[in-house]
Amino acid sequence: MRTGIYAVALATLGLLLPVTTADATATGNASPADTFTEQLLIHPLNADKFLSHFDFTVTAPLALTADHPEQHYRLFPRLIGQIVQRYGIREFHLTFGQGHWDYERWGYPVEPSTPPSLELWARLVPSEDIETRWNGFTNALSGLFCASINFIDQTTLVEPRLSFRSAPSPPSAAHADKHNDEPKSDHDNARNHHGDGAGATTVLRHALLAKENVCTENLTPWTKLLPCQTKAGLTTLLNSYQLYDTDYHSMGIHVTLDCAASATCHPEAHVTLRQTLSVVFDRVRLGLDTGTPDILDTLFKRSLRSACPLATSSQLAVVVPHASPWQLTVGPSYWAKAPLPQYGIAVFDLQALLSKQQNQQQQALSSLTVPLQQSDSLLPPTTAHLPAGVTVHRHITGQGMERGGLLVHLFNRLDHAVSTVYMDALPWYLNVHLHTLRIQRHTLATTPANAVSDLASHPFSPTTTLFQPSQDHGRPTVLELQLEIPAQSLLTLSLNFDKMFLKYTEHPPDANRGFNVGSAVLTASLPPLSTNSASRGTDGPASSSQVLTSCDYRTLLASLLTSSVSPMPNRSVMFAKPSAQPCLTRVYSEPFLVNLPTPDFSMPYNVIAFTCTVLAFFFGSMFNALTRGYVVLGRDTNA
Amino acid sequence: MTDDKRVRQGVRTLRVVTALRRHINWLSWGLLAVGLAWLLVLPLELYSNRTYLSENALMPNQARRSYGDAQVAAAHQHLQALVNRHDQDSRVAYVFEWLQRLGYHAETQSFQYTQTFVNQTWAGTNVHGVLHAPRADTTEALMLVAPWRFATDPNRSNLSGVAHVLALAQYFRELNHWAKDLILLFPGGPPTLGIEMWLRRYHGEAMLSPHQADPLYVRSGVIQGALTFELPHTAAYASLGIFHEGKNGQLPNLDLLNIIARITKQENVPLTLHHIVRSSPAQLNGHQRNWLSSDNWPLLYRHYLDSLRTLWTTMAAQATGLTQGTHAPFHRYRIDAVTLQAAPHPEATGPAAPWPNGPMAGFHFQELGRVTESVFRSLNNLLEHFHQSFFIYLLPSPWQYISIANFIPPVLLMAAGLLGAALGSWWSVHGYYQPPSSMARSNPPLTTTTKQAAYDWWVQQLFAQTETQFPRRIHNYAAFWTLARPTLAVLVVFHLGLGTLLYLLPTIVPQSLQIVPPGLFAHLGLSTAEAHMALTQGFTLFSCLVSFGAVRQWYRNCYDPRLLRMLTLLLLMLAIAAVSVVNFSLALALAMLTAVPFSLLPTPNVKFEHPTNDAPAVPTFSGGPFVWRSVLLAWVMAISPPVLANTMAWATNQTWTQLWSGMVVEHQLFGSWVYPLLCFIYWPALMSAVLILCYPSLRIDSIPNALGMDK
Repeated sequence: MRTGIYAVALATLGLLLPVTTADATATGNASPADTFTEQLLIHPLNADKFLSHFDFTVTAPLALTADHPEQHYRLFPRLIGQIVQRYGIREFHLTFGQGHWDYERWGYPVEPSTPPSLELWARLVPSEDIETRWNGFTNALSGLFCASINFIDQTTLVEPRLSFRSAPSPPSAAHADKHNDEPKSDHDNARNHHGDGAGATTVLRHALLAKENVCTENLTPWTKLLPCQTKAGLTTLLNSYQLYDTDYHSMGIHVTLDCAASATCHPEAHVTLRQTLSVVFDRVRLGLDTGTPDILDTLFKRSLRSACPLATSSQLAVVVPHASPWQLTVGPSYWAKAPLPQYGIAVFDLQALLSKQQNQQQQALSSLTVPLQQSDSLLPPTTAHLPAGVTVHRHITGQGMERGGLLVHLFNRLDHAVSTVYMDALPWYLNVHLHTLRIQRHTLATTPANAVSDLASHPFSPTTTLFQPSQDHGRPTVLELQLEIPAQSLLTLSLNFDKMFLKYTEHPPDANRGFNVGSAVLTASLPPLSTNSASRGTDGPASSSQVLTSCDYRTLLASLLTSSVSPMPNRSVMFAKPSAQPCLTRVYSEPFLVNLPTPDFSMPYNVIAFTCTVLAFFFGSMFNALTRGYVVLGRDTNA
Repeated sequence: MTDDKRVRQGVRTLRVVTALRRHINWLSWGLLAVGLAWLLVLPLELYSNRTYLSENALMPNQARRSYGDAQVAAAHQHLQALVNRHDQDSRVAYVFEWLQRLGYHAETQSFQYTQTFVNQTWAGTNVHGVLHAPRADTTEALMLVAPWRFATDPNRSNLSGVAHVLALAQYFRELNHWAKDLILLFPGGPPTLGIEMWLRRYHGEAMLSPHQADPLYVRSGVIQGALTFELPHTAAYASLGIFHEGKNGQLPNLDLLNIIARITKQENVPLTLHHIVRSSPAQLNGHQRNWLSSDNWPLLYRHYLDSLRTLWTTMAAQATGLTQGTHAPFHRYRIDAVTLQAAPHPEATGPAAPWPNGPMAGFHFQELGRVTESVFRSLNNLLEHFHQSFFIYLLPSPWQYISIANFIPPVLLMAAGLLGAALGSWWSVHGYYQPPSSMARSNPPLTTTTKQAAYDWWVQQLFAQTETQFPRRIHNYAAFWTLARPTLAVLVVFHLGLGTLLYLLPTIVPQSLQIVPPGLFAHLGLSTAEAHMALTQGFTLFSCLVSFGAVRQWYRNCYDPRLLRMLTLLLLMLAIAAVSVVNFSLALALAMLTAVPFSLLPTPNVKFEHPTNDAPAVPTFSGGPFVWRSVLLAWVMAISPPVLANTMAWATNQTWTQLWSGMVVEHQLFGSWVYPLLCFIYWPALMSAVLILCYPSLRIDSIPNALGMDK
């Protein structure tokens, strides 16, 4: 009997053993078709701010279309796959945000997004039941992420015609092909094929929820989609206390099918899920003084003890400009060269450093420390500012409850003209008058302060104007302007609107706050980085053309993955030259708050009572006193 | 109802109405007296209510404050650095550089404002910095303002205020509580002008030439509240004075003052309104408020005087619009703002310097910093714009308020008094018979035994009197119109014509001076404002003559002084009542100036005389006793604008041209209503009063036909 039990126990152990050993060799055991990579990019933006960008990418050979009902999910989350398949989605991008991205001081974000709004844009297969599918899609996402995405209704929904033509196109897909065969770059391939004309066969929908708070309740389901969840790898650094105390927080999920642009997908299609989290920490509020603080411990208050075993590549990259007061003191796995010479990139291969594999030469670290040393002379912020070349700022003007206006400043600090599309969706309660649209052009001064020197303005006309007027209690006003912004200039747009009365029940509970209106989107085709950096080296003032765009960041992250195939310590890896293709990216403006005429909700009673009293007492007696004449009539003697 | 009852009711009504019509003047004077007396009731402690916080979200004093020694030291450093720099440009550059270093987005704005009326140009440079709140969207903002000079006294510099705000800038940047952005503004030039230019550009208004102001590129969202600091350059302060009146009777929400009162009480910072030092405590406890016990009377009396002083200062500031501070321009944009001005401590000698543990007496940066931090943490809690508490109120002390329901009756009663006087004029115009005084007191003879007989007797008396005394009434509209046309013409000439001319003179005087033979005014040694006044008085005289002579010639008929009196009184009543809900103090000033003399204007009597026994009655106007009319004329002259301007200038220690031009600039820059009210209502009303008083007694033969009296 006892031996029988022992036998059963041994057999059970024997069964379990391959699974446990499989953990150690997880990289070899998962299906080679599903790949998962995780990357953390730390970039000191200037003396005071640290940008930390997490990128988790899962690629799977799943054809998530209606005609392929059976799917086999390994690392790719089934929830997302089912949503995409059921509602006929070819591509969707959902970003949550908090805070504010300072384009004038920090350049471009890694992933274009618009905090504090929630932004959802998607391509759907066109069909008759698209509304039902869209509703189902928003509700499913709402349930999945514990957010109010189901509040997206016809008052916030936009179908852009000129903007959002495609995601930022990667600069060197050809080079990427050469360096690897991994399916990771398949989405790059696909996009390269479809490029700009996308949208011909799918319906593009975009919506902004202007004031949607993001918190741990949204972060938790987001991390649960990842293969290692919060148990191993870079996700162990996600400390909510630190993440939500930042100047900028953007959490996004981007799902793209290979056949994003076409209506039908071939069976060997791939789907890419990219989850990104960008935060900007502030040195002063972190209490970071001089010395050599460990960046990971200071920023995240967590220690990194492991890499995700299911990942093919797990990396930490620290991008340090040579002119920055922060410098690395510990040697990384290897140094990499950025597209620009004034940046140095230190790459830490986490799997090599932290995994407990036996066949590593060096001792595995219990946790990774990245001490950054701050030089004593703190550079004043002005010279460390790298303003983004193309920025947009939108503000509300006017005072009072009747009417107002919009004032939009579009800056182009580059030396080339930039072709852009400005898209603005204003809700129906702002009655926009298109005839009041005025565009003026000013010339920027060439001093680093970017002061507007030439106030004398010239009228400017857009290449194309698309205007969709609003419908009361329905769709918003959509204005799309195609603008070729000349070099070194500022465009000022002004537009007037009337504020409309809301129905009594349309006022929110905090009626006197007003309504938040989401950001305007500027889709810009940025020129590639200029390679003649000899004249504008580290000693000269930084120029806006030397700022990394979103495409550059994406290239950087992609290239770091390819170089990890053969890592060799302390060797500089030369990257491909920066792309010669322009970068199609999006720049967002600020949201604004508009006060609509709000009644005092007790006034109906007050008015009725007061008016009746005045009429009864004052008007009656006055009227009588003025008009009543007392005439003595003769008395009828025949009583 | 039986006939008897109807008859009795008719007789009763007749008696009451007759009495009312005969004694209407007394009634109106009674209303005026009650109104004036009610004004004296306002400062009573019983009459006002204790202030309370309406917006529960504000929660003052609930946040932990950590403004401490490091921040005080920083403030003193900034103060020393500013004192060491002697010219304005380097100070502005210092502030700009520091704001950028602290991480704020900073910008300078230069502006220029030209006033052709006084031929003066003011210019300056504003500096402002914006801190984007770390975890919030950029849709709302709170403002801290520190002008370089005191707004009401350009000789005092506000460097302490600027240093205080810079230290706060450094401190606020380290906090992560902010739900709204912070905007720091340091207005240059005349501070109120600087702020107005900044606000205009911030809200996207275009500049009309010849004024200029640079557009703003560093912005935030909607501004929800603003606080201005004016701190004298002494080592310690005794009390903090709140100035809250805005332009045109606008006031910030009472909740803003409530949180400042509660926070300063917690920090033991004495708070006053307009630096009025009280001789009695602002908050009386239940025992002290018991007015029945005579022990409390001295205290209550002192409390009454303090409240009266405070109310008087508030009303003077609101009515004239000339003594507001840097918070006033904000109210037009629905931004609640107050100025906090510190009063120097008498024991604090020497310049400000960081003591080991703070100043020996009074308070300085430490307490001010904690107060500001508390106020901003409270304002930070606001989810909505200030909307809960009162917008229209009077404050006898920082802890008591009088709501509009309580303070508006005096002015409305005075307006009602004017209405009563106007009714009296109307009845005399309309020709309602006024039975002789003997009738109401007389009684039917004892021979009448039944009520019916008594009624018959009354009726007979009335008929008998009516025919002899007042033979005719105006029966139809055409007759009335014939009578009224000259009067209305006078009114149009005065109120519209003269008013428009007066109103436009400040803008066209410089041009009109060129029309006049060149050098005439210069030869006479008159400045532009004096030339304006001379032209104005010329025009008024001219319009008087026109009204008297030309109108008569034109309409073959003179104006009817009774109708003119009625219309003038009605117009004044309308103006007072309408302005009272917007700017109570201005309406009160207008009422107190005009109500009494205008209601005392005599109603010209109409006597119908029979030249011969058979000829029909001819009306004769008589204006009243000559002495009385001269007294009233002198009174009207005494309250006429030129004399009033001189009096006020003497009282406020400036020249009357400064006062006059100040009033015109206030209107053109801030939209204050004082000048238009003066041009369109007040001055023409006084002209009408002059015409009524100067109307001679005369017989007019053409009136019976004009009146269309039936035979």
